[in-house]
Amino acid sequence: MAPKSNAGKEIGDEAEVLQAVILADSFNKRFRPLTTRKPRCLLPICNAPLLDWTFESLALAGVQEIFVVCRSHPEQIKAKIAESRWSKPGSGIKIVPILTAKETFSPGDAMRDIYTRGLVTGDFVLVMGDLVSNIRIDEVVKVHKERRKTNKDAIMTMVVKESGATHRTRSKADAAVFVLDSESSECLHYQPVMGYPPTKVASVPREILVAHPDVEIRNDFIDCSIDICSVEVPSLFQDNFDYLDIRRDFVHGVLTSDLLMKNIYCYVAKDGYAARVQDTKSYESISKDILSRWAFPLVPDNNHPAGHLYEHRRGNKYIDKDGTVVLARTSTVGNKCLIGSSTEVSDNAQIISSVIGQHCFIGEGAIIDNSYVFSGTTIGPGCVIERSIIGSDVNIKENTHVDKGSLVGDGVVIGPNAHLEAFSRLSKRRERGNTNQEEEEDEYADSEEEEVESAQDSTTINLGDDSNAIVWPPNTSDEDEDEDEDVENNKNQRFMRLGDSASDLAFSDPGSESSDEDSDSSDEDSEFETRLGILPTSSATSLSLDAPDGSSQDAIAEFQNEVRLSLERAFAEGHSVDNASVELKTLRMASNVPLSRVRESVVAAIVDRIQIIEGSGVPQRQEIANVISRWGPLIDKIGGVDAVETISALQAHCASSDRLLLFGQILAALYQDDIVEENDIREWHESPTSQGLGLLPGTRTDNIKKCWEVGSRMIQQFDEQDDDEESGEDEDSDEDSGEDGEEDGEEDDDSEGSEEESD
Amino acid sequence: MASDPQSAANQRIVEDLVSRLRRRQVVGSRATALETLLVLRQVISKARFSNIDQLTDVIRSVGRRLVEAQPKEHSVGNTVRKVLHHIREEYHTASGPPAVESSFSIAKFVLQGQPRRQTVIPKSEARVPLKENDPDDPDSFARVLKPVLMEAIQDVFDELETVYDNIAKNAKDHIHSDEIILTLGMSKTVQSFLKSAAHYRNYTVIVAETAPSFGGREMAKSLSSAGISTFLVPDSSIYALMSRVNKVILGAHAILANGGMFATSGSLLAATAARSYSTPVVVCAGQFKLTPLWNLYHEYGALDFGDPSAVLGFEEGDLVDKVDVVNPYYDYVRPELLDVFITNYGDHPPSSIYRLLKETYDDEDNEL
Amino acid sequence: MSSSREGAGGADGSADGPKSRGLRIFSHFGLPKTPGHQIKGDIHPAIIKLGLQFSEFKICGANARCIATLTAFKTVIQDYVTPPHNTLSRHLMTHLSPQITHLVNARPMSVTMGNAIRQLKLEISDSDIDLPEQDAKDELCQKIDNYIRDRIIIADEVIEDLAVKKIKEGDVVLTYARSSLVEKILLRAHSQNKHFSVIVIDSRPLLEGKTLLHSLTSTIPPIPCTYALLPALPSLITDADVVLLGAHSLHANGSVYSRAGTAMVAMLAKEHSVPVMLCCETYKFSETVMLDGFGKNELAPVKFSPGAPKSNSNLEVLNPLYDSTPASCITAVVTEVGLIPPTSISSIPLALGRTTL
Repeated sequence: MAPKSNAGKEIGDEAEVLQAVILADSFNKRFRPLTTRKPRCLLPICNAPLLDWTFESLALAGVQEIFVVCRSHPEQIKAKIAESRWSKPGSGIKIVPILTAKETFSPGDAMRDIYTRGLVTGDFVLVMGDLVSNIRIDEVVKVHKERRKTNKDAIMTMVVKESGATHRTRSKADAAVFVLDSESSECLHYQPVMGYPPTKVASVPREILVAHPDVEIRNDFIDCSIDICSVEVPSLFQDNFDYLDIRRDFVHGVLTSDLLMKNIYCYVAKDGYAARVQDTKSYESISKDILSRWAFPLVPDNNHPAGHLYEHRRGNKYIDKDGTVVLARTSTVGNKCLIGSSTEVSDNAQIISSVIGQHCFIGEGAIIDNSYVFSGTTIGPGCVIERSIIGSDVNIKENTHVDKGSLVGDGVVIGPNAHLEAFSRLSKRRERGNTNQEEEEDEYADSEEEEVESAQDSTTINLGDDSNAIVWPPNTSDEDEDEDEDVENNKNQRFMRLGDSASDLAFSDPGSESSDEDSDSSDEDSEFETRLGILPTSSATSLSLDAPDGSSQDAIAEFQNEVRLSLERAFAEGHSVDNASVELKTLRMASNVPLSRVRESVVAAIVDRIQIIEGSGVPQRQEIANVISRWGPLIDKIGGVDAVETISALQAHCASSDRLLLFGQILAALYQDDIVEENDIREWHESPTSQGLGLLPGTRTDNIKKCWEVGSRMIQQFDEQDDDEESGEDEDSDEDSGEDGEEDGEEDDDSEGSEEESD
Repeated sequence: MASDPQSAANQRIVEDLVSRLRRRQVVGSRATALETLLVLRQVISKARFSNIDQLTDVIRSVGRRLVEAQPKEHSVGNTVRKVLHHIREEYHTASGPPAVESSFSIAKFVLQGQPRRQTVIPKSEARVPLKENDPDDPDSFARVLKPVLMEAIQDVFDELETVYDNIAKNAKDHIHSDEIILTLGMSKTVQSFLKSAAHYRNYTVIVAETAPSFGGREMAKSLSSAGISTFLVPDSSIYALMSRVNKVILGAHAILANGGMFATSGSLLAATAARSYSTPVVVCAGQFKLTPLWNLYHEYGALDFGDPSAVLGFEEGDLVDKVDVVNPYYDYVRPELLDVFITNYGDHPPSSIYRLLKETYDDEDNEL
Repeated sequence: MSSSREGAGGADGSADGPKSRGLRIFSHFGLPKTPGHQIKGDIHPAIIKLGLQFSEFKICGANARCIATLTAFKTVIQDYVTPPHNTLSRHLMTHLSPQITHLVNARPMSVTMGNAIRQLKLEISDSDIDLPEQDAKDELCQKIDNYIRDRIIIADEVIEDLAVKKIKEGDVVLTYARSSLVEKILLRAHSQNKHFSVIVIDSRPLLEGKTLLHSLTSTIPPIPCTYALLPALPSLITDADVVLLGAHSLHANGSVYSRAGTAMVAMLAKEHSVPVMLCCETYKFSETVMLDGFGKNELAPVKFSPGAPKSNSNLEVLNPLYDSTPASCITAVVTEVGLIPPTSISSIPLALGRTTL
């Protein structure tokens, strides 16, 4: 199933061959209609196919074996690889195209496929098929391997590039906030940031700040989707079938899961350039970056991935060197342009910051402004093309006006005097009477094209008389709110569109937002700009956070309900502690609720189980002791032991329920059963939350304070116990009777003060 | 020509170097020259040819591929030309003595083309008659000539290896006591030159940092650790300090046919400033950097522009869009600004570089 | 030799042990000042603040320093109380002297500051003895304001008008580092809707060109700029149509004392026949003669060289901030009295209607 190209070639025989996996399919449809008949990775950027740029980037990094996972139009990719120079002997790289099933719809599915084929044998480099970079990835691999020697749980290293929050290559629509540990560059939290609905607030779980004293919160990275993965990563995808996207699902899942205990690290590339052509906007910025030589040594005049030779002229102009380019004397070629071979530019034409492919003809007086024209295209005289992408073999007849953001697919003919509005998308009408070949292609083409064709009557764009194009309707935004969550939602797509500054969306509020987000927004790259123009990045280490988790109140309430029901069942049916704990664990997994919530619920349920026996005293204590000894161990079995939190949860629950008076006894029982220890009680006692500081005054606060006083008395007793030389374990000793008396006394005190109890 | 498995093996070696050159994984004139030489040695040892033209064709095609891969790295082409020159020399001495002993006359001098360099000792003492294009024994030609060629290549190797030592041999004659020398960037040739002079003389060196590569910093560190008093200054103060400087010593990337040179960016500034104070400018370079190339029209692209991130960091995000950044690696320095080239085969003024070229390379190789 | 020589020469400071003999040849430059120096005597807090700003290079540039100094002096004068048995005109100067010394300790005096202070002394000694104190002080502050206004602000506007006429549509203007005056000229030309582009050449140690770049590109529409470091200059100079430079001071023999690297720019421009225009207010003129960049110079503190090796007994890191451009490289000087050749500054007092500068 995996055809090898050029068997019998010798590969460099190092002990470990550096492998790479290219996910050549992007699994989204942002480049339609240019990509209906061709896979996106074969689209040319600066006159070389994207896949070639990726191969060249990997070759720079010393990769020796590459697996290309193709889903859409795999035959084209295979053919292209077979005829490219990479398949010739002596290229030093073995490229293996892999055809996945048509049912792979996401990167997660592709990873699962890789796992089932068992292709990767060690640490490998995972990139997307649209990468342009000159980063020395082999150095990153070295760092990764070093780290793996000491820490087996470091399963992945993500390569990110520092860029500044407003850099043109950084996508506004699909960015992320990274929380890193300052020293080890471990990624502690990942939060995707969308353009629309605009993510205004990023929340950081509290546990992270506790575990790592020195964190950096960065919003200025370009995520190049270069990952160094260890060999376990595909198997993790296999275990979790709902991992679709690598960043949003896999990284997020690994970081928030506390079962898995795996670490992900970031490698912040300060030198070097790496970016992905994710959408039309980044297509433009990366084109400009390549022409400005940011991706050196991948520059058009030297080491062009498709093997062309361009001459570098002043102002970053690149003209093909083989002498076939004809530039009329009165034509102007502006700065930052690239002109392919055999292209002819006629009189008075102006090419401004554009890329022209090979074998093109630009008619007289045409103005091509910030546009990208693929090979074989003819632009008629008098045309004006602004900020658009024109496919290959297109014929744009005279005096046509193409406004910004337009995408014109391959083979389209647009008649004279046509006017394409901004952001219009055109592709060629399919001929009636399908041949066999077209039927095969239809397997991969979407039904979308058919829908578009059938909707042609309703279009009103003037396409000129000779046109054979069909117009794709603009994305309408009448879907319901659910779609807004997706990165591909229509308004978010506008941030990714060529020529669209989407400034009107930047300030609109999406409306309903979850109300639990009361944490401070982590401030992005604060600009400490000194007079000398040095911009250090920020490391905001102090954040005040109140509510750490992101789940809404409803989910928690529901979860608590579930827990309560489950425990009631357990109590009623007399399950063992272990069974009950397993049930709790599965509940927790399903609801994705943090551990502290679970603990609260369990403690609440157990306390509620204790019946209030009138008259208190020994029967009450007996009851408490019974319940605690039966069910107490459950508190420790839910997934983590944190006695201090147990006591806090107990306090919080008692304070708001009618078992306030039992707090001391329950605590004592817990202590007897070794669920909490003396040190834990002391620790809890010293924490400010237990003292009720910072809470609004009210009954609950008062009750909390009362519990705290109970605690203080208990601690006093501990102290006395320690001082005293007699052992204080018998119930008959003075201290214990004193303890009983104290407790009774406490109860009296409480009952005097409380409104509920009458004495 | 050569049979298939050998050509495949040859191709692989050549392709490997080609891709490394293209990706700039091999940087530096001497390093590229050494690599080229290794590849040529392999190609020649595996090549099969029955007359001299076939051999030269093979080498020239290999050379052409290498030069195309990285046209800015001139030492590649130079090495190929040098090897061709040696090959032809050996061939001529082995195939019969030319009549050079006739009386010397200007006309003959011009008509003869380049005179043979008398200092080369012919390797093949025994004048075994060379049978070219022998149909019975096609390999005889190659068999006889190959060991001779290998030795010739070894000569070139040795020359490359001993470049630094030879240049530094006469350093003490060029630098006098208590002089103040200005240099810039990091050049191993200049470094060894200065260090060897330091054994005999006491002097001071001012090193300019040469942003953005900051090679000067490395140079300053290494010179000061050798015990030379060193000042490290930014490039902006070259003119300010020039009035006190006695000599400017520079390294070269390539020496051009008219006596000019490509040198690290910043050299033109130093040379111009030196000219205005009439300070002598001395260039230390190995002879493998001699290139039969001209830059009469000050070709912009010859300067090899690097990536802008060293000048304007990628982090200055919003500036990147609006500002063009220019970052050339090399400067072209005209011959009028230079005073002497110190090479491993002696000192030459820029006006006699063309003569040196004629002696080192063959005319037909100027275009590979 | 010119007047201000730095006192602290020799082998003290950060080096460990005595320096080799060769390294002492530039010791007359003096060591770069470390901030946080001692405060001797009764210094006004505004002056202390100013001194710190100078030594940290927060206020940088001849005009900026002069204006800041004069403004601080206004505060000092207002807070000054004439002691009994003394007159304002005689005692104020002695009061100001230690303040001036403090500022000089932070960074050596610029020619602009020197000229301004000399003018101030003149005004103080001329002030009427009979005036009540507050009036005298107010009058002095008024005179300071007038000085700033006439010789800096309005002079700048006149210079801008003159220089903007020299920038034609479609020109490529080359400039070096950041001169406040050149920045104003370029912004003014842009606001007159001229289309031109700018090449900004920059250099360590201060890398001031980046600030200029920010301000030029934040106009709407942004001015097309090219940015390069000094060694890249030869490949860009052929593109330039005119070179605009700023100056720290202009001397009697026509040589220009300005940011290190200016000399190189002027020299290369002259070689390629590109006109060099120096923009300079008249208050920056100095009667002294400057021969080369050695007699008077200043070193930047070490913090501006991150990544440079540390000084030791054989290695010294110098960052001279200034250099001297010979008059032959400058085509014309734009001042508020018109365009003059650089060697004619002695005719300025007559043009300004004064006897001295």
